[in-house]
Amino acid sequence: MAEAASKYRSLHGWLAFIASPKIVFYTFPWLMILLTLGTVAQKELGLYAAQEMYFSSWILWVGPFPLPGAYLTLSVITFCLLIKFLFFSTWRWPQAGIILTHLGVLILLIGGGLTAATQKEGFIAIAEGSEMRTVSDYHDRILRIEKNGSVFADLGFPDLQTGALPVDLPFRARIDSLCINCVPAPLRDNKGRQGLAAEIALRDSPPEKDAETNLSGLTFSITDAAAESNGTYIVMEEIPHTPEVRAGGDTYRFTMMRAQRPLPFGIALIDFKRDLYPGTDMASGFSSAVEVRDGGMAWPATISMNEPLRYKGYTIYQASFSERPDGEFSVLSVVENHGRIFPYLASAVIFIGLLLHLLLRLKSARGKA
Amino acid sequence: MMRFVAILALLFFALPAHAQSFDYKNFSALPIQHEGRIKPIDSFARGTLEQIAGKDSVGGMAADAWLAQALFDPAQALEMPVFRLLRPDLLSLPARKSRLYSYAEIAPALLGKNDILQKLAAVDQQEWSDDQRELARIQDISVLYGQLLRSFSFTLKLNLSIPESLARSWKIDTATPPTLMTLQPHEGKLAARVRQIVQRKGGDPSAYTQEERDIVNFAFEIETLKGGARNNVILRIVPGDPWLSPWEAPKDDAYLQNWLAMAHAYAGGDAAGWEKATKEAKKIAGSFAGTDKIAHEVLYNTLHPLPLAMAFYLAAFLAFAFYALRGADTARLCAFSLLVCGGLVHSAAIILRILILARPPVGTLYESILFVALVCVMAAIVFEKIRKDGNGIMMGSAAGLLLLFCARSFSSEDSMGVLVAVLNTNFWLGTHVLCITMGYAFCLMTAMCAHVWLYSKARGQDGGDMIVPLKILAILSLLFTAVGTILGGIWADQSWGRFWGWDPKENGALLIVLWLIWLLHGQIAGQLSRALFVAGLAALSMIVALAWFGVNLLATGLHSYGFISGVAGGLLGFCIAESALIAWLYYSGARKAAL
Repeated sequence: MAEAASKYRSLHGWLAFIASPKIVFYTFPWLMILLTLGTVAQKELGLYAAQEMYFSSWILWVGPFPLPGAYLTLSVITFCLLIKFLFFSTWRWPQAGIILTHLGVLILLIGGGLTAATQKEGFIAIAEGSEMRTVSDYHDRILRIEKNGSVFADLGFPDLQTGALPVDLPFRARIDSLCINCVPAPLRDNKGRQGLAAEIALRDSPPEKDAETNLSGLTFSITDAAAESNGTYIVMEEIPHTPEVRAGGDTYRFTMMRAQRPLPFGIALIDFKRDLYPGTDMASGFSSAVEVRDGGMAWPATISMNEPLRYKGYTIYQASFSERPDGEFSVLSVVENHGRIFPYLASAVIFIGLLLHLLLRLKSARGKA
Repeated sequence: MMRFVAILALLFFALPAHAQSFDYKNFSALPIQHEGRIKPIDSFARGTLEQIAGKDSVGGMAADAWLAQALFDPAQALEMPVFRLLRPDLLSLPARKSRLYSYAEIAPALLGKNDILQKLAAVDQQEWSDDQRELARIQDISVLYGQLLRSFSFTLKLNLSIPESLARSWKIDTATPPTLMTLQPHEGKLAARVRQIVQRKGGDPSAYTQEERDIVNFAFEIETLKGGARNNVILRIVPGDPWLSPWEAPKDDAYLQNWLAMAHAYAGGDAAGWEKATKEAKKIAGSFAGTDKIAHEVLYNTLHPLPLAMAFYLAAFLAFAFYALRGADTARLCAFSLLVCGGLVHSAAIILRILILARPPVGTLYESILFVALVCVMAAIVFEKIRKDGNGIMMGSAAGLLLLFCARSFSSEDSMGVLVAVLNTNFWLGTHVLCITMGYAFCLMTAMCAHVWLYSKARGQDGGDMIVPLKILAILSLLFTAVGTILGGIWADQSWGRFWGWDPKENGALLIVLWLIWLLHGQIAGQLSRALFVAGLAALSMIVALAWFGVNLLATGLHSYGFISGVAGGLLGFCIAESALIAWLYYSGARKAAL
């Protein structure tokens, strides 16, 4: 019995320590250091790389030394706050504001965790009059091989390396070189080169700070295919040139593109509008008149700045537009986020909590006076 | 450009100087569409002159008088020293105390830099040196001025003789100087005549007779003047979609006719005619769509409410200093009244801006400083009303004065410019932006209050009665910054598809929230002594400065509309000075407490 009481006291002591404001006192400075370092690092590393390193990591490696990453630090804070909220809140009226604020922060942190774990982001670049049923990833690239117009294989770009192409083909395909951020370069000798490769070569250049602006590509050689198809080819993102190889009566097409995810409905762009302030070339707004197509149904919708379209758990935003050699494209950002309600709820609870706490403090100060 | 300068100098009659005798009140209230919005000529003139001369009056002329001269008397305007050059040596021009140079001096010098400027156009602006940037700036303002000078060139009297044979056949009286407009009906015949000469005698002018040479030269000069004015859209004064410049508008447009009457009256030195024409134009313009805010903007420009508010804040601070030295309560009341007057004028300025822009008061960094200054002043007035110890006056007048002074560095030529597309939403400007800027203001008030407490301790006094208001201010700061930050996340969720993206601007706001939570919990946990807690609150000024301005210097992330440059030195200096001050106050207080 005494042993059980002692264990309980020990557990209670530990929980009390976990729930004490000392945790905030020791964890927050580290969080602020991470925040400052990660923010300043964005200048040099770019937004995505700095975020991955400082904010989307459990461990921050400084050379060989492991330090807590933002995920670990925030998890510790969430756990401690949960213990404080559940077991050590003072359930009295003067503390109501603090309790509510703690609850709001918990909702925010749990929602943030859920979002970090489940959120999927991507984009659709869509031309007027066309329909899209897939979402492109911002960062992952693939080499797509199509056989007679159907997808034959999708090879992740990070898995590719020089040497034989890791896929079963009725001809031999060998990667000669890869570049994460390719730029066209003049060609010295076009002997044995096919298509666009007969005009230019690809040269690797330093990756851009914003990883999504890199244009990846590769140079590959084909042998043992139809005689006219053997040779060296290049393939690169954003270049509409897609090499075709014929072998055994089939046609194989190679495309370098962003990784694709299916969308459970179709989006057709009817009209893209870029409104300008009169007499200037400064945009006052962008909007895309689209048609949502699902099953046999189709209905119109407008996506504009600050006015997204929400359907089947997906939220589709007007992100930007691009002008390419093959026309003007509206770029729509597509987000699937199961935790998006949490910040809305949290902001209301935190606001009420802090306001209540402020009013109670004022009342108490007046009482003392 | 050189040819244009020569033609302007030679071809247009210089008019007698009479700018001072004209009344520009009606003229300055006429509407113009510029940089995406409809504004009064007064704002356009001030902004343009500010851009060219670095001030809103030049050579004893107010901006509207200067503009009238540039439009209606370009030959005089050509010689007017109006370009403020920071580096005249770049154009091999002699240094001058006033730093002002005329278009006639600059244009030939710029011509010699044509090759450099062309090469510069192909280089990314980020890579320009300071000299290159200055050269490009001079080029830009000289193009702008050139466009202004040509805006009404079709109606100005030409100092040009019409070849006699042409005058005879066109039945034109050579005693009256022609204008491009009076010559317009004969343009076809002139072109046919030149074609005839070239067909008959070829392209070599040495084969022409004197009369033929005169005709070809005359045609060339007319064509040069017209060519220089094509695509000249700087002065969009005639309503349309978009509004039209005088060269674009139909010449028989009734409203344009009023402008031509103004040009005519100006040229003739006819003050009564000018008054009549400007009055009539103002009356007609009053019915144009989108011009209902013109009167407010003219009032705003005329009253100069922000410099006036600064003057009140300065006077309040001086009166407070007198009170602090002598302890006379009348001085405190006087200082308080001056602070309230400053606050009222400041509020009037913000209200006028809301009415003019038809949106919430904060859309740019400049506007955020104006608003934060006002919230600080209002909070200080309440603080003083409750405590009546002069601290509120000191904090309010200092915050109002310093912030409005800083705001001047962030003001562009048009401080009421249109917003980028993503900010074009009154709902989020009215919620997130106001909430977070109010948070900044309460943080600054908290920091100032903490400085006062540290100062009292450093002098060996008991600052105990400041602790409660300090904590209340800290909670208010936390309330507004936390809710403002979360609202910003919700806006980001609405417009960019994610609640939180670790963007520098977002991180800056979060840093303030974390700092406040850390201090409050540190105090509750007993980890921070009262003095350290207050020193931490005093350091809020630096955290806010970094979150408000510092993150914009990184020029990365999605808040690209807020990027700034050139304040890093000032920000660093502020942080060093503030750290030194807080440390000195803290240790002085600790020493005094130990005695």
